[in-house]
Amino acid sequence: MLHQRAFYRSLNAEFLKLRGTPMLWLTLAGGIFIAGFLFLIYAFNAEKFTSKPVNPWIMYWDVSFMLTAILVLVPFVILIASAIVYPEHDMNTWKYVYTLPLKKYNFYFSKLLVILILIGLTFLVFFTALIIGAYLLNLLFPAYQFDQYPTGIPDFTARLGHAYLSILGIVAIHYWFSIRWKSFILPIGIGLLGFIIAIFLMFFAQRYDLATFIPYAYPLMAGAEFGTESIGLDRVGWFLPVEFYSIAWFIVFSILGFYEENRRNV
Amino acid sequence: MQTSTPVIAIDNLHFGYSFRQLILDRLQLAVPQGAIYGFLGANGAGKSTTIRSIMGLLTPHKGQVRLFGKEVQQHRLEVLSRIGSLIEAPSFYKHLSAYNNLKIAAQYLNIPFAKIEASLELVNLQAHSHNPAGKYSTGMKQRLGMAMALLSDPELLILDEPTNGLDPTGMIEFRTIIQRLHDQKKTIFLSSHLLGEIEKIATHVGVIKHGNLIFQGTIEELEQRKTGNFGLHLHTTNDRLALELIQDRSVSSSLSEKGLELELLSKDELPALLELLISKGIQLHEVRPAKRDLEKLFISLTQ
Repeated sequence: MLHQRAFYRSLNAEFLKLRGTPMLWLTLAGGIFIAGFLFLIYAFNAEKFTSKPVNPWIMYWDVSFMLTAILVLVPFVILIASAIVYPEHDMNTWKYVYTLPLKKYNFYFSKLLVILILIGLTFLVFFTALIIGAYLLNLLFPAYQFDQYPTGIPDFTARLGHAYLSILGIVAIHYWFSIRWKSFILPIGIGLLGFIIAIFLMFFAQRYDLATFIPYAYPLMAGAEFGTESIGLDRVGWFLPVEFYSIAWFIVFSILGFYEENRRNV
Repeated sequence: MQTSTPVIAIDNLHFGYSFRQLILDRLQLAVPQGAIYGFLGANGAGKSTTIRSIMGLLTPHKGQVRLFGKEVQQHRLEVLSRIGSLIEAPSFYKHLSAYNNLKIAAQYLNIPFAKIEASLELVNLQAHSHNPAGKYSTGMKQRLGMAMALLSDPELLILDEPTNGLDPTGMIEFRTIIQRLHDQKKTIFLSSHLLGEIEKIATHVGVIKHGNLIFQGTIEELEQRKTGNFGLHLHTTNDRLALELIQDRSVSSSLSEKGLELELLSKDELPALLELLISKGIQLHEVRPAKRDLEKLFISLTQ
């Protein structure tokens, strides 16, 4: 019970550290950016997109999910994981934190939880911005008829849930990297290289078998599972195989990272 | 009040970042309760490594560090809850104000936010407590580090090179804070490579060289370690005549623009010597013990 309280206090301390940093803005901007981008695509192509009388939500969710999974998600997760740890390196606050009468796991896992919460918040902002964007488009271009068809929100929520699970491995790996290395450059470099390899294996070499070993490929693989049409949970199930891999990487790297952090001489 | 159990007791401590090169080698050290313990040593002598070992930040290869009679690694949380520390440069979040930094510390330590003001007041930082700490002067940063260390009202305060980069005013402010804490019966362990600074505040001294403690005792005991002679600085209305008069009575003497530097066999010779000068019509402007001897001793001990 005492340790739970210590963890809660550490979590509060982590949120206090976010004050005056661009982190909260980054999570908001990260969510709004793709929704805004999609809004512009739809606004400038209204005539083309409304030529056929189909449910507009299907393509709307598909495109937004593809944009997220392919363009933004991995670099964004890497950025958040690195940026959240940077202030500790900046003034070497490790030596302060590790001389506090707290078990080290409170510090390690509260920070990890903050990263997960911030990414979750971005997903929430993204989701909300997409819905607002759709109804705003409908207001400006009634031909879209977003209000005439079923929204498919439960399906898209499930997709976001799958996307979230698929990035857990990357979160734990990059959290570990960011604690190990003060420099932003190296973890971001490794992450981008991994992501490029994942894109190559997935879209050019078509080697799904090899891609399963690369966590950077998991959001792409999760996205690919849905194909190009909106499908429900009943087709995909609660967990995709890549999500099990992602969770496994998350557990292994969280434990490994903590173990190493615990032994580190500061 | 002294007790038999030292607040810090280091026994046969060995540590090195590689096994070939030991930074701490058979280190022994004991800090009595209520002491201001000055931990002296040249740069690279092992002061910071010793402090990191005391704080449990390093795992020693061999030996033991006991705080309040308890082994640090085994009772880490218990002993750390009784310590405040400032290791090398102060650690804080520079994008946040002093107040918010202390709020983080209070959150970690489970201390009510109401105590923050008292901590800021103790280090005289209230006026700037809502400005970003990254923009503080060196002295203010140091005071913020002290405020964070003192927030939990610790029994033992460990400060590593706390006056580094401070200007003379900052040093005086720092000494005032230390003296105030000493008056509150707190034990203070502070490292420095500057003898002059330690001499002004410490009650006890430890001197480390190549990771080994080569002297431990009070300032007076350190002084006794020198030649046994008493060093004196004199400045009179006629230094040249004074030199002639006292040359035979002193072990060594020299004249400079600043006055006379001489060594007497003992402090007991001083009254007779001063009487002699006054009887010859020489007026005294300045009479003080020469600090040079202690410095010389420190240099000979540490180099």
